[in-house]
Amino acid sequence: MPYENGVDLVDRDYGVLGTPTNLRSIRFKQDSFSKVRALWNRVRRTLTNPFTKEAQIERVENKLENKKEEFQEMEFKPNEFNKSGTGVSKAEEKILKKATAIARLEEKLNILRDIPTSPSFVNSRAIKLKDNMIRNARFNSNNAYSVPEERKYAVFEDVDTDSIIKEEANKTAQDVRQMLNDKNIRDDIIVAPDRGEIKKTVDHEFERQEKEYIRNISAEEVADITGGEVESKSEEASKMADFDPEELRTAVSDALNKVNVDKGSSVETKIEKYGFNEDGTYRYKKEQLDEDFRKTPIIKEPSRIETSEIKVPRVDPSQVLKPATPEVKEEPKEELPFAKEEKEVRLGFDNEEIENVTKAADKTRNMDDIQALLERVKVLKEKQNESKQRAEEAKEEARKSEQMKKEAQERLQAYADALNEDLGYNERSAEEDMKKVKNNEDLIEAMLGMIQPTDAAEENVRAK
Amino acid sequence: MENQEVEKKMMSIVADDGTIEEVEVILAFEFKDNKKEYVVYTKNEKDENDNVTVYVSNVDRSSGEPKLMGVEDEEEWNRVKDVLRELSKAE
Repeated sequence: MPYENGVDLVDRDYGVLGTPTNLRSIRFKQDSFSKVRALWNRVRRTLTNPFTKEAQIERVENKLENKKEEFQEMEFKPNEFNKSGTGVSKAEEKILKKATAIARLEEKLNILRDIPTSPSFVNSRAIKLKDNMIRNARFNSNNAYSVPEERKYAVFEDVDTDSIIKEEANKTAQDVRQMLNDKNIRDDIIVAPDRGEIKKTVDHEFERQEKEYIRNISAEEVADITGGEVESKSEEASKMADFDPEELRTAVSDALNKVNVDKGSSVETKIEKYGFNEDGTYRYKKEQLDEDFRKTPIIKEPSRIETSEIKVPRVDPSQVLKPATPEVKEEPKEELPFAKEEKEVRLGFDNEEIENVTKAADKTRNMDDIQALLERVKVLKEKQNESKQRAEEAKEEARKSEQMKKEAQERLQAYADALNEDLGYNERSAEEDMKKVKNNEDLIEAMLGMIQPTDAAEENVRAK
Repeated sequence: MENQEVEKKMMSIVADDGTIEEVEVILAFEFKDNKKEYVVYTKNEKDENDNVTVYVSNVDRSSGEPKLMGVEDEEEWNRVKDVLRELSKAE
């Protein structure tokens, strides 16, 4: 146990020992003696007490559990897998850092449990954990990579990478790529002949998942997000997915008629265009080819087939009369894996539509395009969100204005009502006044009527 | 648990006359730099002032079995005494 003065206090077995020569002694005061003895006994208690050890184990176990949970919950954006100047991606650095912390705790636990360990334990364990993490990470709905719930247990599986490497040593990189193209093994463990290959294939798997994700975005969704900017790309991509089997059959048939692999009766006249080479291969005659090219409109875009001499294996005469069109299974519309597409495109080299699909496939294959597209979509999404927010704010303002207008109208109406009421009152008042005036006039007239007879009587009196 | 008593650690030393003496180990330590191990033990001898005499030996495990060796070098001995002095002040 580490202690001060550059010493470790230890508790070891001595057994029976011989008396040393030149034995040195020193006298301690009783108090000092007791202190030294007590100190060492405390240390011995710590070193030997199983309860203390158990408590330590418990503490380390808890810490390890937390670290493991953190590790399982890690999430990475696609751009974090971009290689830095050191050739290691930011994501790998982060994974390895956490994996190393876990490996250290596991080593500590081994020591406390008296399990033999080795100096290389931490490094090798950390690398295994990192590989497990990368192997099990999947592209999720947050546009990031993380380990799905159902595969979290696999992150801490003690996979013996070395034995896997030996087992898979005979598989070529081509085989691995072929495996990756097969959808059915998407969720299987991906292994490769060496570490470099593991990384390569993992990168490939990430790319594939991203492509798939892009393809899954519907044209409407993309157009909605980007305002139609990337719609054309989506349409091209969807062409690949929605390839009409009938169209494909026709294209293949046309192509076969041109290269004349099959010599059916319908194309009998073209048989003369072909001849055997010295090496036994079958070829299209040069002069006939030239003639046909004069007839056939030449595609401006460079074709994938560049050779003017098409070699095909010698054909067994008994198998000459085959149907003009090879069997093309009409499968439901589905995504064509890239390898398959390429084969079909090579057959229909003069089919303009297929050429377009090829171009679209090339574009889609280009990871940079996808990356840029993803970034673009992300930016546009953010812009759209901002616009939406602004629209919401504008709506809110409009609603408030409408409310204010309504309130103003109500106030105006109330004012108008009040005025009308006043006016009515005044009118009523005027009418009443008019009535009063009229009454007064009537009264005056009546009084005048009374006065006139009085005057007449006065005149009568005077006459008398 | 902290107050739990630990058993005294005893060590057997074979004297020159062949007798075996049981001594109590007071302290054992190892220098971090040179990995030299020392054992401090007592025969519980006290002087007139009640001071306790302790013995210090170097433990050599190079042959597999531990062997007690004397502390030959003065500098080494001073270093050991410094350690004991420091540890005796520990609370």
